[in-house]
Amino acid sequence: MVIQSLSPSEIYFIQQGVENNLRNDGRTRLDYRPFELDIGEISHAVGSSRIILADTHILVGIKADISAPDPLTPNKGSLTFSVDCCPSASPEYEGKGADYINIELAKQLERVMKDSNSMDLGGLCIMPGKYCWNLYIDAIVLDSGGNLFDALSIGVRAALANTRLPTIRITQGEYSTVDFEVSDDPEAMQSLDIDGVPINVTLTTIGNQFVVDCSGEEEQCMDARMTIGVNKRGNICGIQKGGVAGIDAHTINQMILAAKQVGSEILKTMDNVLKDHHIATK
Amino acid sequence: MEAFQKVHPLEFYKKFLERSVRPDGRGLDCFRKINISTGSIMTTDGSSFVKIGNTSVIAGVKAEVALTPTQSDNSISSNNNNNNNKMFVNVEMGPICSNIFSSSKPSEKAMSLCSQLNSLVNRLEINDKELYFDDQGKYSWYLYIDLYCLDYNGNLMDACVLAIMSALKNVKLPKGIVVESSASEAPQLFKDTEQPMRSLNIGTYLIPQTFVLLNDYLLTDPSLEEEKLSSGTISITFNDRFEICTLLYTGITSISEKILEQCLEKTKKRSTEIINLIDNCCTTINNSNNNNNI
Amino acid sequence: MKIDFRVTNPIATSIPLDYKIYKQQQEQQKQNEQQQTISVPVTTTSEPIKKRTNRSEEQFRQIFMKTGVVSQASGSAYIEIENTKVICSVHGPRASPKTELFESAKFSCELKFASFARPGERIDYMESAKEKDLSINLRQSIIGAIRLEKYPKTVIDVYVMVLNDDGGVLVAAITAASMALADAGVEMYDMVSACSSICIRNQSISNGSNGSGSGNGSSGAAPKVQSSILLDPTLQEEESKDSLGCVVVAKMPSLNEITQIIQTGELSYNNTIDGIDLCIDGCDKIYSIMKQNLISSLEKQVSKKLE
Repeated sequence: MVIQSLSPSEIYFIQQGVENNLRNDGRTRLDYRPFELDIGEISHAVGSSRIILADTHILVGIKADISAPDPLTPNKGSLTFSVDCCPSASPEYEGKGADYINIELAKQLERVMKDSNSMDLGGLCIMPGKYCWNLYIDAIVLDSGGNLFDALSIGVRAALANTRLPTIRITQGEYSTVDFEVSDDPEAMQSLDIDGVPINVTLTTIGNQFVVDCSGEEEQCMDARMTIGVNKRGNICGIQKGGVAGIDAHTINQMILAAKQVGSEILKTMDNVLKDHHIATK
Repeated sequence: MEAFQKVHPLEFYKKFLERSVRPDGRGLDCFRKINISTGSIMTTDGSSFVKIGNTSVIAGVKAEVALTPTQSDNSISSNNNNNNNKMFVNVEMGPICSNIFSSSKPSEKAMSLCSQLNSLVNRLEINDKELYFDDQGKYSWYLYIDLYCLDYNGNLMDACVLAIMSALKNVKLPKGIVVESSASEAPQLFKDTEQPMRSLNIGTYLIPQTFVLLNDYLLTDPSLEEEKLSSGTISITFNDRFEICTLLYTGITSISEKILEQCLEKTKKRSTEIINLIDNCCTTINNSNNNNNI
Repeated sequence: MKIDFRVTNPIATSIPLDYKIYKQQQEQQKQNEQQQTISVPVTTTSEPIKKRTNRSEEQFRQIFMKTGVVSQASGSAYIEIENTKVICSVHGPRASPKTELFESAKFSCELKFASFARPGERIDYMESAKEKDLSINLRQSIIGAIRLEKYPKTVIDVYVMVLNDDGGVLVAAITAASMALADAGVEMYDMVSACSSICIRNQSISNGSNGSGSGNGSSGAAPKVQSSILLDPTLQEEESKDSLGCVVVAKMPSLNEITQIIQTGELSYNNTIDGIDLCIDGCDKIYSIMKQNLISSLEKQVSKKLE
């Protein structure tokens, strides 16, 4: 959906609404928009998901292969993130326009999921020091309706819940070489433990207040944005501030607290739904 | 007066050159003050910082190890054979030193300087044995010398040569230990940090000098404006036995043999001063981290 | 077509590792003969964090700053935070080669590591993802402070080169860039100062559970791990395996506004807030050092002109 640029009166209208805890679509400041998740639609990927958060439409696919692990972390597998914003999402993403935002989105996902060591990558290890799984997580943004950071992280988490890797059996070959065998049985799959996988919660300041999950129009009135990664244990897994304006320290404390609350609610709801539909095994 | 300099730069310079002086107060044969300091970068095996007037260059040497290439029977002497290079020089002239360079594509000046310095560094007469990692010489040290220009105000060649010389004199190599593992795995290489480190024994000194021809006047150690106005540049490097290591002339006019002889004489006269400069900077063991010369 | 001549590694070379650490590891392996130990290459990150000797946990290192170091740039600054050395030069505001009309200046930042800046492997000449990420963070930290609308149709470029990395690279880059912009005379609302802190895991006292993560583990009553916050970490402290997370804060002290906050690693809410508060105090102190340096270099320039 193409978002028209807003006139100063419209911006003022949105700002006044936010002050009075009533946003354009009727939500309060800390309300999240309802989102839909479609899981496992891409059959060739080991895990996939599609998230529709109001107008934001993102497709996430995961592929896996086996290689030697990073020598500094011989017990862990690896994750590689890439994000591609299609020109269909917004005319400014045409050609090289999307390079900057692609790097920012991918880097924030990497910071929250990989650098925080919150997710247990030990489950991806096949043989310490010799073989491990590498997951390549690719996300395509098909339509942008605001709040790409959050939608991407929720989509990635759902895709990871859906990931099924074939079971590996370690065999002893000749001359004491250890080899592995990939099981042919389509039923014998292992899934990943997504307990530790965090999600992003983005808060944007509009005027003197901050809101959660801003829509496309609200993004145009924003002064500054903070993307905070929250995991199930209630810990903060990564913070990145964006936007041109500054924020004062007191507001930052409040924002992190709000992010923690909103984040844990979303994670709880998401996990319940995934368990009900037998997607996550825990 | 500044307007005159901008509109008629050549005329502006002529007025000074007629009285055998340059706008910054130097004589035609005078060079700018040179400052060399070494050992400021802790993550390198040897480093130096050279400042000629305003032109600054920082050099860092990193040493890595690989198998010594075996000499085949038909190989020519190592002076001409580039396959036995153990030192690699790279020059970066980024946008940080001047706004005429861009960050994406490497400038042509940097490329040509790099190839000149790569051939020059092999004239330093460093014995192969100096660069042996272990005692038998099965493995050797390979030195990567990276030069970064931090301020470009003319005469980069001299600054780079002095930087390479002082950085190499500052290099400290540890003793190497080779641990043979089981037959299938490669032997592991370690450096012994408990033994004292050794310096490189460099056979000779390199004495660089750059001249520039401006309106039939021969100027030593050009600044940036002089380089831009010049019609030719002569770059000479001697070793300490006064053998020519590099002699390069580029320009739009041709020069006579007499001018070339003048340049060679002037460079020879300066040799003792440069040798003293390099020796002085390297004997003072620089333990302090403050690089106050910048 | 211009070919990139820069030689990355013409010969496959490697860096020898430290023999002392290898010997220690061999001895440890002999002790744990039954356990299946995996050979981890001995690097600095496998050593535990050394206790700070010359400064307290809440003190930052000695800072040296100087402006006006690059004669060819509009403004420049050089900063040394003990061993971390960073130089920054600003070109602009200068006319843009593109002829399109834009009402405020275009601002771009670029950060580059010298290939010998980090211990260990040489850094490649091509721009890596890490450098790109740091450039983006640097740009977002300072752009809020510059009055871009005062310079229409111009381009302001900031180039930062890291000569030696010993922790706190982003902090040094932000501080150097602010000083360089001030030296260039670009109009700003305020200078931006930055500070960083890390949260480290102390050896926990109860149950000898050295391996437990922070917060609650999967077994109900896991003991809480002692953690402490260190200001201005060195490279060894940042990359050690005991470090739980790192916080970098950049702020404009006179306006009391935070222009950038980046947190990595998994930290509890309290640790995050403590880290941010410590950084904010650090930023104010660094700001006063920046102001002093700027005034003294201006005095030197004026006295030189009067001579």
